[in-house]
Amino acid sequence: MDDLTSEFVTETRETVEHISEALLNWEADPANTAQLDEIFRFVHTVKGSCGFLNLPRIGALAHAAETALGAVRDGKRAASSGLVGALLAIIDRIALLSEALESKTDVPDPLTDAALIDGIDRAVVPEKKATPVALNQVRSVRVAVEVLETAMTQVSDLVLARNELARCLRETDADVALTAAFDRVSSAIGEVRETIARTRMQPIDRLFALLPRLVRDTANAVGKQVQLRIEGSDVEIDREMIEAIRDPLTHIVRNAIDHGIESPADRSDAGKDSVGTLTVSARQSGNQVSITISDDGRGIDVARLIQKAVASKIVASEKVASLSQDAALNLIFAPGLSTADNVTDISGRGVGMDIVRANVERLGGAITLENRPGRGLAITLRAPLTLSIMNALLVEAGNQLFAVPRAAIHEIVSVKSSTVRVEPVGAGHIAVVRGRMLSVVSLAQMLGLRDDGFSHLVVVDPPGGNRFALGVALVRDHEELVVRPTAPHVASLGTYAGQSLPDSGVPILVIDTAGVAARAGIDSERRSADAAPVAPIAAEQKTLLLFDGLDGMRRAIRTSAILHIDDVEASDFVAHQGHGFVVFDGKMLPVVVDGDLPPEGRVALLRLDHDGMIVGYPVSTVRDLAPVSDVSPIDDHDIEGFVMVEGQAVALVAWPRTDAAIELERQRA
Amino acid sequence: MMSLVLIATIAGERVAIDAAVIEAVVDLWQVVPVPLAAEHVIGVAAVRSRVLTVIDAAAAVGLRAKATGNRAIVIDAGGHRYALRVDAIAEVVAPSGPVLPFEGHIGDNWRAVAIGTIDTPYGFAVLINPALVLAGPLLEVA
Repeated sequence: MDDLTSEFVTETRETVEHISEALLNWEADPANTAQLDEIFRFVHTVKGSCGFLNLPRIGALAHAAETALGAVRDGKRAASSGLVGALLAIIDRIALLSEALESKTDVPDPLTDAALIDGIDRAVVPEKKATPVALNQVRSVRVAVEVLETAMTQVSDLVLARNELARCLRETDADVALTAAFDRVSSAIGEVRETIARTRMQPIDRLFALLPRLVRDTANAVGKQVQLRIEGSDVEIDREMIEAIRDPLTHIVRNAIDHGIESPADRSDAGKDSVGTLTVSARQSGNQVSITISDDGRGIDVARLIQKAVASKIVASEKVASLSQDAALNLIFAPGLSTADNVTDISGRGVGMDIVRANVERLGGAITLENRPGRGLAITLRAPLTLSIMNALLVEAGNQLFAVPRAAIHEIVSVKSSTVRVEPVGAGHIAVVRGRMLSVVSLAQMLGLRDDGFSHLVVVDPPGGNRFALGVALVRDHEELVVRPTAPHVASLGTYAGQSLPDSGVPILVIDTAGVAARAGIDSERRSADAAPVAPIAAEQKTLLLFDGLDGMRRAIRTSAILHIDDVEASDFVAHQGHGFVVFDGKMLPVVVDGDLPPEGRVALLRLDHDGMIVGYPVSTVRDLAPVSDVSPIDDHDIEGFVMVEGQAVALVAWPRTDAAIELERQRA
Repeated sequence: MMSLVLIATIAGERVAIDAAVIEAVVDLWQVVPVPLAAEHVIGVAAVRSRVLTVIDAAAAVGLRAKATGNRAIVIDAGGHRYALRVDAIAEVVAPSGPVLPFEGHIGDNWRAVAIGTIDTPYGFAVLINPALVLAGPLLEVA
């Protein structure tokens, strides 16, 4: 029996118990219709659930009862004792059948259902009244989330008390018997904690079960054909999380069908299968679950999105040119965008996406987009598996320990690493981590503690913000923390997400990465597209380097791809069996050559980082930096697309995929 | 008449607190500072496996502690637990008389947190509402 059916059985059983008084009152006095609504609601709900769960027998019974009750309620039929008796017999039968679903016992003969329904029509109690079954073998109960929450809190307290006791025992040289007894208690507490944690977990299937119907209904309503694929439905997440994700998921799925997937005719015209495919997949990684909803529709037309954003004054027209692709795409999260014509317009996807994102982020999650214009859109919701235990990294700053939520951490790098460059800029620092430029926030400095410099950068993606590097003096350890809210005195500072008592017994403050970013003045590109171009962290995305290739062609490349620009002697280049190298820093660096190298003199060499693979790219002249305007993508290996620079279309080099580069990739694979 | 009050010293001043609102009297160890917090928020500390926010009572009324001990009064406010650090704690006593309104000057700092004065075996004490102390010094509000 699947979860939904089990829930139906439980709910039906409970409601029958709940309305039993109303039923008895009515049976005693058929003229008293005061509690009729309650009974009507019950059969109505049952009928609805049956359609959904494909339980035609119960559905037919509920339908007959609903019709009769409706007639009584509207005064079209009198509530004779015969009718009341017949209705009660039906409700008994519904209870019986739903119990049978669970216990898989004695299903009464379907033929007698007809007799019961007939009894309603004739307003007589069928001769052989169905007897309610004894409630045997209760397999699931409904528990209020608050009760589970309280149990979880109590267990957490128990764990903390155990830790304290463990510390005391360690200090007192306790005798063996005592230690052994404590160990048993300790492991029992650990098991209880796991069990309690498990009561909160449910397969995400419960959430996905609503999708087939949702997809069918939405597709029918807008005249589209959609095939649904579901993957990873066995991933388990916090039941509260299931409830919390339901609305955002529903919203995104509806949008994908309404605005993403094209009509069958349009799809055929575009050379696609007339049936669109919507894939919903869940994946667990660490203590996070990510749910990806991807369609093979038309994707988001970024240019039109920007137009709309300008039209609705969400972004100033003079800022458009400097918007990065990501920033532009993220406009769909801007509140108030395109609520007007959401039916046919592509950018109608923006409807309510601001609310969807806010809801996801409130859970400690994040939402990301992958847009493939003309080929579809993938939206990924990331959320923690549970709300009560947090995986955290303990770091030291200013001689004090702090916890950083693991979910927000992208990577941890040592400032001594060869792929990291940290330079002071003004009062702060800028780091270049494998070619990517990041603002550095010294945790100690930001918190006003004694700043002893930092040994590590914790690269974080704060919820709803831009990636930045948190400079810390020391990286200690990972620990699972039971995080509690801080008092208003502390919470109001905005820099702490909570407090916890780790095994050490010394309290620890949990850093709120978004709050730290805000306090450090790191603008969030996503929050305000207007502010994005000035944010130092966003700058790398927005800046292109213009250069003339060896073949004399003007080109552009994203500065984020460039590690360094150096001048090297033309004589340092060597070619061997069609592969080019340059002697650089005493080492042979593979190069990508797209023209003729000058016979002598110095050549500008761009050192590019492609996923950690370093290659040299000699160019004839380095021209200038330019902001990224819209990239018109083209389907080509070598270039990402064309950008407009000073009224001229310039090819944007993605990754010079010459033979040498391809060979490099192959070797690496 | 209040049945029992705790007699303590805050910034050298004898104060009385209704014993009914006090969860416990504790000795704090290892108070972890909360960077950026207001001056009267000393930090957080663990007491019986729970994390409390430690408030310096003297600083909270805009005064300076005359002695720095680690004695604190634990109270509950708005679902959060606080430790109110005081100069010293005497004992819980039965007051010798009813709560009296102030006569004359006692200073804005105390007036903001005081309920009145009360006679005790130790002499007159300012009867304070510890929940008001948590809010912090008047200066911040003004």
